[in-house]
Amino acid sequence: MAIHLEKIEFPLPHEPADTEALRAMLGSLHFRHLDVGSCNACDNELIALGGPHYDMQRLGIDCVASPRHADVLMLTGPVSRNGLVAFYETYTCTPLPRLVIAVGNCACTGGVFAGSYAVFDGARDVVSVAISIPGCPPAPDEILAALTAGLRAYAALQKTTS
Amino acid sequence: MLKQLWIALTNRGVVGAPDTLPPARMNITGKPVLTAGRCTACGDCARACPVSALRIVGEESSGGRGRTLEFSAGRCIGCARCIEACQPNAIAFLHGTETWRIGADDEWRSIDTREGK
Repeated sequence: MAIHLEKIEFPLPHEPADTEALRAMLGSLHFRHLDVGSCNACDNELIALGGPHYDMQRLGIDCVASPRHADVLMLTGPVSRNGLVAFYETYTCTPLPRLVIAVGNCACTGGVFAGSYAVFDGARDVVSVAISIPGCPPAPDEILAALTAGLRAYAALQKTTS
Repeated sequence: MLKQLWIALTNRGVVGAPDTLPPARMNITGKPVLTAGRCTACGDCARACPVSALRIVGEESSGGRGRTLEFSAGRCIGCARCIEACQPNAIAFLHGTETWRIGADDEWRSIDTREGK
């Protein structure tokens, strides 16, 4: 199925999620890492989360191999224009409620690539970002803090729809 | 030699996990802080910054007063050139893990000030 990106308006609209669904998600968080133009520094910090030093699985956080299994998309890189199709397909494959976390400076603001013709200026230009983690690259404990305390704070801010 | 062999055989020399973990973070991350009263808002750090993560806001004509230094965490790459460029040694980096922000992080914030020594 061909995707006609010119018919889609970016940034994609904000998708509200209620607090209870987010709280349930936070107990066993599954994230899908998506590289949209990253230099691999942030990717290496994400890989370090699975090692024995940081060990994200003791907190119930896991990295999954398919966006269809994921709750959260971790974007690294400034969203290159060539990576937009990959981003759109991955984002639409992720089941609701879905959140986007921008990891690193490039995903936050475009970083050192901001203003280039080949990239968007960060994930905020294509989608509504739940949490952004600045740093070039952010240290693994900063990413862990965002995945635990940051997402709890984000969930507390959302409205409860009963 | 024999003593070492005896230790190895009797398992007394086997070292377990170290009591203290080595420092996991050797790079400069976190956020810059200013020492109170030292910053003259000269703008040397903003000129030295390769990614324009620092800027001076305020009137040029007011002679330093009313000019403040602003920082964008979403642009800083932690190269520490601002620390080298700062003549009055006002900038330091504060390490911390709570660097995340809810929503997009593209804001300019004035740098926090800490107490001078």
